Amino acid sequence: MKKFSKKDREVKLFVGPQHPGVTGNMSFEITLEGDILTSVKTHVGYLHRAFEKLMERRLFIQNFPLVCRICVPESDTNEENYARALEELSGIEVPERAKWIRTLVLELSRLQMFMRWIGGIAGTMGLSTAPQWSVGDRDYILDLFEELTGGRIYHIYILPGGVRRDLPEGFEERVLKVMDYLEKKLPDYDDLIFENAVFKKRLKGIAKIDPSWVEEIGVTGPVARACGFPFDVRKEQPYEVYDKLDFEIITENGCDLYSMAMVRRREIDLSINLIRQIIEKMPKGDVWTPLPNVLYWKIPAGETYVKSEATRGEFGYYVVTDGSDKPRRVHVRGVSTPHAYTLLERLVPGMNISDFSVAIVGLQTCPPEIER
Amino acid sequence: MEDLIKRIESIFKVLKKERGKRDNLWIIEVEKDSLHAVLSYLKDNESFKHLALVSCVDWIENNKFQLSYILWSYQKRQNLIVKIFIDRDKPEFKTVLNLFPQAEIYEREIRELYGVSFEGNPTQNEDFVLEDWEEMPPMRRDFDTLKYSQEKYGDRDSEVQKTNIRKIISDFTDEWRRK
Amino acid sequence: MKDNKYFLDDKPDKISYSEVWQKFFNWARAKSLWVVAYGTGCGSIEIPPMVTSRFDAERFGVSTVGTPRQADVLIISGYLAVKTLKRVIRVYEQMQSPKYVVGLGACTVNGGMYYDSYNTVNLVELYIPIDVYVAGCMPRPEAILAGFAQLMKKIKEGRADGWKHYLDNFEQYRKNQEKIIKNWKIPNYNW
Repeated sequence: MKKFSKKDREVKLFVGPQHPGVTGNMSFEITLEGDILTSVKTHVGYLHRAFEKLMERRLFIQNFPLVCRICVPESDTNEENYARALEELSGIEVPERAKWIRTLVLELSRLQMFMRWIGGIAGTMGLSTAPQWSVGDRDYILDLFEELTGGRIYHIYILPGGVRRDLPEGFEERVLKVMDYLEKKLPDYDDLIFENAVFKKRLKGIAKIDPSWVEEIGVTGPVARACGFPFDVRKEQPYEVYDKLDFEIITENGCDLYSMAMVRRREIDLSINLIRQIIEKMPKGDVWTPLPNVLYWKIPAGETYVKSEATRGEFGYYVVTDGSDKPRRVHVRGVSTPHAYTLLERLVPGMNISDFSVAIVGLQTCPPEIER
Repeated sequence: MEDLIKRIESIFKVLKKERGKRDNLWIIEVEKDSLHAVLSYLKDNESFKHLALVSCVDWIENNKFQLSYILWSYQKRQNLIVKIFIDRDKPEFKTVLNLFPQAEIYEREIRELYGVSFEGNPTQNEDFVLEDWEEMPPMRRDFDTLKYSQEKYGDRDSEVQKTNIRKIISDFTDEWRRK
Repeated sequence: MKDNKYFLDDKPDKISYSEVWQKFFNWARAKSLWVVAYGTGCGSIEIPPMVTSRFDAERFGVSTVGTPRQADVLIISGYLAVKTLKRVIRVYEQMQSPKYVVGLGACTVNGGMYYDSYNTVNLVELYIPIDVYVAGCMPRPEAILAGFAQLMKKIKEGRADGWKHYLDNFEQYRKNQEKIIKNWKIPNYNW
């Protein structure tokens, strides 16, 4: 009888570049032995638009339409980060009310991203009712954005010196109405997804992360908090008005995909809570500090690194200026860069092939921010 | 934070130090050869365990590349940017992979977009975002992306735009058939 | 080019039917459009709202399908990076005729805001024939549905003939594609 060596038993399989749960295109080269994965190689570049090069060619203010397209589903985090970096470098003060409005927009954006993610992970597991619900409910938040900013996906609402316009009349009530609706709807989501036996069986114990990896390879966000590692940029280095809001860092101790899902589920509650707090405490006042003529706006030489908590973790902007009217260098730290490469390479050995697509959606990888 | 900078200064040669625009941000420039020792010291003794980003800036007028290593300390809640300058004509440096595993990807990106090679990084020559790229590394300042785009993909304002493209393609084909 | 088994090396034969049959086929084709679920750019963010409960594209017979071999419509949802263009051509050539292409967003029309980017294509129509453009960045789901309504009308009238144009002018399209894609070998992590 012929003996097969290990190399003969190995099969190479190619996943991607398209997966409906992942927001963008990336492909994976996986090696299988039977139905157990032994290694993975990630390939990106299907969405590379050379943003960082284009930003070096444009004026500071002209870059705002570009930055919001860096991570498509969560555009406000990009705008806020870039605006805050420019404010830091040029010393512009932001009015108090503008900071509160920014925080409101960021939290709404976080909420809609989580709703989109619920659709992604449930659709990956074949629970095809859930995307119909969650993507439909997400549209109510997008409607609020449309009223406030004029756009559903790309807002260009946060600019250096404040925000583009004040809240429309009665906007707070409409936000609260949507929050009431979502809060009423969330127990249904729990029954349908988070307490679902299929969901639990598919996620519990899958993609076990060693808690020591978190510090070692720079894992952030819900993935780190699922390992009991309390790191949340909103708390550790408060930006905008997060230091004036009352909340706790959410952690779980399972270190697996189910804990990550539960962290995100509890963050939905937290976001709704924060939005209520913001609307309650928001002061009156100006929303805009007039800028110098933006066509001739020069920022003194310097460099800074600002960061904020996106849904996936620490999102950062490294901005270098040289005294001219264009940025010298803008480098975006995409959150999922270490997740999709270094962490995934360590998680994959021993994983069953049917869990692989759940794992990449569960880590919430977002290719457009890896390659820009 | 100032104590920390003093401690670093007492051990290593700090060429330039600068307080960031924020309270918890400092930027230091060190010598190229001592970078690994500085990062190793910061990681082991000063709890700067999180490498957020490795970035590269092209200072073409000084003929230098700047490499920035952005660190974060979970305990101190401080950001520290350690930067070095390398020669633009000889873009080579050593990897920090042994200290921070996630640097592999950032270094691969810099290798592709700036052409800086990192000795000791095993995967640096693999494709990251580009495929079959033949020009100079595209993020360098002297690479003209507008000219390249117009030559390769057609000008946005060209005559082709304003007329029916399908007709133009058909005309070409007819000409090709007649030959 | 000749030794490459993943792309067409010559144009396939065309079968012609009588006009009555052609009209009947067109009428039937317009009623059920299956879209290959391949989002090439940021436009794919508005596809999930379009096919789920709120805008529900399925009431028009528009549904998504996983494989290009069963699909009728390819959506170019936004800018095409060079790396993606190669895959899009591969997907397009795998699809069975008749096949239609919808271009979403300003960047498919003339490059949009990425007109000076070294990695995105400016005029998609030079490489792949597009039947309907939907302008905007991003187009709303209603706009995409309106685009589909227009496509259906075009199909019924027999005017959605991009695939015929591609076959008739195959050499010229291939020449345009070869200007960008030097290496036609698909890397084996992706075919």
